[in-house]
Amino acid sequence: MRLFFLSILTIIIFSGCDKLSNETYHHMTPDQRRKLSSEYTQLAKKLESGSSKHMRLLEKAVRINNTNDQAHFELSLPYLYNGIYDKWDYHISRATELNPQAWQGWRGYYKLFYLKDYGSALFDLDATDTLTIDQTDYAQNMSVDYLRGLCYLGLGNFQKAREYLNLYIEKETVEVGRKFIDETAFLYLAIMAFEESAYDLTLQNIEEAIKYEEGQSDMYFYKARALLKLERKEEAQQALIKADSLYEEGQYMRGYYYEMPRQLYKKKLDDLAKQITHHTDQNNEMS
Amino acid sequence: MKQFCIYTIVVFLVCCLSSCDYYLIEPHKEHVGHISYNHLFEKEEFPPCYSEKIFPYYYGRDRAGYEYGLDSLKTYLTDQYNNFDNTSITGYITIRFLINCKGELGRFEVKSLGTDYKSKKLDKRVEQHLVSVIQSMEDWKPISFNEDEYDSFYHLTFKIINGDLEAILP
Repeated sequence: MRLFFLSILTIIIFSGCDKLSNETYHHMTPDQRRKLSSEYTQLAKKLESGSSKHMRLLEKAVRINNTNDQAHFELSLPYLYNGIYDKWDYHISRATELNPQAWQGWRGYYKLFYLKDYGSALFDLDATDTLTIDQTDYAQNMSVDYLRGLCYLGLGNFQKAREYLNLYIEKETVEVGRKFIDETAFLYLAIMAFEESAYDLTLQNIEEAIKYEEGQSDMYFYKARALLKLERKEEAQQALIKADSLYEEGQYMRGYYYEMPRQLYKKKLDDLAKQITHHTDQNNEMS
Repeated sequence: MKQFCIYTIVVFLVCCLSSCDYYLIEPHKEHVGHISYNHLFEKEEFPPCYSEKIFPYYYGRDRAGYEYGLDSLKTYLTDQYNNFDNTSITGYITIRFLINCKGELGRFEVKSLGTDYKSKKLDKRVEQHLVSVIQSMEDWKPISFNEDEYDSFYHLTFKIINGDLEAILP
């Protein structure tokens, strides 16, 4: 009986050790572990984000090489999209600790757009800018200056917001040309001007925004609002028609998983239409 | 002999556990965000139409959500928000729930975080109130693919600073 148990135990220990050794990867060199971990990360990226297999592969990649910042970054995203912010924060912070140059700007971008955590986003964006000297950083293809402008807009500091948006425009004009500037920078300058009752300046910025592109519904919406304030009702009506038609085509600012700062809704367009009609009716009565 | 058997069983269990890989660490049996039945806000099990697959709300072209749009939803929730005069609440309250294929809501769960994104106790009354408001709302639209409607999980996060509702996410 004792011999039987001893044999079973020996078999179990050997099979267990073999499995354990495979799963701890201690028999591999650091380079081999880094390579295998990276391969698992790449494989996971081909699967449905957030699915069981996707997450298991990424966690395996982290276990093989716990300094794999890309795997931590990929792990963070499904949590962000599904409102599980504590786990998102854990993984994005690990990725940022491991490779701040790569991920700190991204963390700032997520905090700005997804969490509306403007102060904290600003901290990350400022930090990422100091990591690279004499170079403008980009997170999600957006200039860190543009993003800082939006953070200050969210914080209600229009002066600083304008400063950074203008800095972005100046740098991009020199580096890639005026035509390739993100037109929403002008839109946000226009929005701030509108909110400060500077309607002529609003129109100037909107004209800049639609100089090279057809523009988005948001631009014509603010154009219509400014024109109405300036008592140019017919032009306001025309701008609103354009805003409506672009909105119907889906040409308005929006994020896939989040809402943009000063998000435009159909109801806002409908309310503006009522305002213009009301304004026209009032004027007709007076005359 | 008895001691030896116990020893064998313990070693066996250790070997089994260590070879079970991630299944024991984080099983990920379902998609991230999946909500299992819990007893927190409902006495009876809320039935999804197809328990085999529950989608994240953002899949496909026809997403799940409030029928009249996110702006109407946010306006209504902002109007209904009540901090019970507690101005010390600062953080995020996330309410996650299922929208089944008939547009019914269930399996509510709540998580509160501080502004550092770490778990934090905020105010149970506010959490309960927000859940009640959402539960009382009708006109939810299920997720659909090619006009076939399915179940999905959805979330709303209330960002509260000093008792004031600053934003509703997403």
